[in-house]
Amino acid sequence: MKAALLLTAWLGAAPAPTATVVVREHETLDEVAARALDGGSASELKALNQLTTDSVPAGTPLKVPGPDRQTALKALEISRTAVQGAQDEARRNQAEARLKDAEAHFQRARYGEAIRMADEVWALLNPPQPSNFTVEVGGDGGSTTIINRQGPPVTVEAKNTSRTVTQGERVLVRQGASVPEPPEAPEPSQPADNRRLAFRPEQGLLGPVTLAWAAVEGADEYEVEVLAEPATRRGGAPVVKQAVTALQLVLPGLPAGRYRWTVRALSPARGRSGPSVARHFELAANTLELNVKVKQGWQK
Amino acid sequence: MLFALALPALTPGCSAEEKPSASVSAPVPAAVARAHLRELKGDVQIKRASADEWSAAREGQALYENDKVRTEAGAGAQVVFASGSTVHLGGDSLIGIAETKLRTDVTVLRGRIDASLEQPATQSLSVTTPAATVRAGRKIEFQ
Repeated sequence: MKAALLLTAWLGAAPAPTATVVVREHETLDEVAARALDGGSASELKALNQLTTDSVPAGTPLKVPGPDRQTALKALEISRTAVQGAQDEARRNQAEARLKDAEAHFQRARYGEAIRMADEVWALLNPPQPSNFTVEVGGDGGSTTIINRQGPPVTVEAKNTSRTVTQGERVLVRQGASVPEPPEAPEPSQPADNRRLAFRPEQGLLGPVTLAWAAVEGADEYEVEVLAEPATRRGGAPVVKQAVTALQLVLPGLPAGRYRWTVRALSPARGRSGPSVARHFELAANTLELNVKVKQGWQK
Repeated sequence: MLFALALPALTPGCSAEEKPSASVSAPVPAAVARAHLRELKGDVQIKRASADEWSAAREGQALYENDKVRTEAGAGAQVVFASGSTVHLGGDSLIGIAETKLRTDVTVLRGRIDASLEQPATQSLSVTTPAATVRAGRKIEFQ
């Protein structure tokens, strides 16, 4: 996300638009916008070309936006997703109001302003966290344990090697040794990828689904993350994120739909692995066939 | 104009007329405190870089490079660095304040510390142990 924001900052300073589009015979401004702006609206073209009417004669050349429009679109999309997934209601309301302002700037072809305000929305929902970490030296000084408890990653260096330790990770470094590599990612075993699972709904929810994976040497916990697909369906926030010591997790009831899941290994000495290969499953409701008795026999 | 610019450079407590006289030998720059001790609990001791003996630590005491602080079991203290970053020293621990020229702030020789940076975007802290160095906060540029 940070990279995305830096990208928007860089692209936000893109040069003014230079490309043009020529209005065709009997073409409305909406149609020109749909053709030239990848689904954009007439309001953008009007603002960009300082038009006061929707009626533009055929053959008129109109300026079209530069690459900053695409950047603004992306920034708005990221901020919309962040707003949808925001847990704090007061902060979400504040962010929604600013997002509307950002979208209004976009409609008036003020893409730089739209980018800036969209970035503000994201920053409002992702305030910087303090950094808290623990360093513990073993009794004989021969080992050091580093635990990143909160905030941005910290860097650990030892014997000409270094790595970052992210929030929730614990790494043990022995004197004279390199910083240990993270453990291998676990291999998911069930359910098979893209499996369709049917259940009788209970209070509108389906399940239980059991996710399982192979053990990883040195790992004492596994962190499972389940996301609804498409990613925007739940604002990009995981529907389940849980650490377990077993090699499986029984999910709570979930609404019908498609889901994507990954699992990471957590080692008390080597930190957290990368995510496993993503697996998908689909939850569907069992359909019940109702047979209704009518005067002459049964009717489906 | 020059007079006005020179005023802030005077020693605190001196008026414009009471300029400190230049000494014959070159002045020795005053040591700059790297951190201060806060929230002392239990038996906390300090050993100055130039001293051979340990002595009882005091609340608010300044810490300079190569000073050492140790705690007995059950004791604790906070070391607050000039940048605002804080190191909480647990019981039965021993730390050293690093030399300014080194690429670290504090050395942990024994025990446990809990470090905290309220604003990691503008603060930094480096902790060295016999086995590793941990760097937190903004990217540090060393010369």
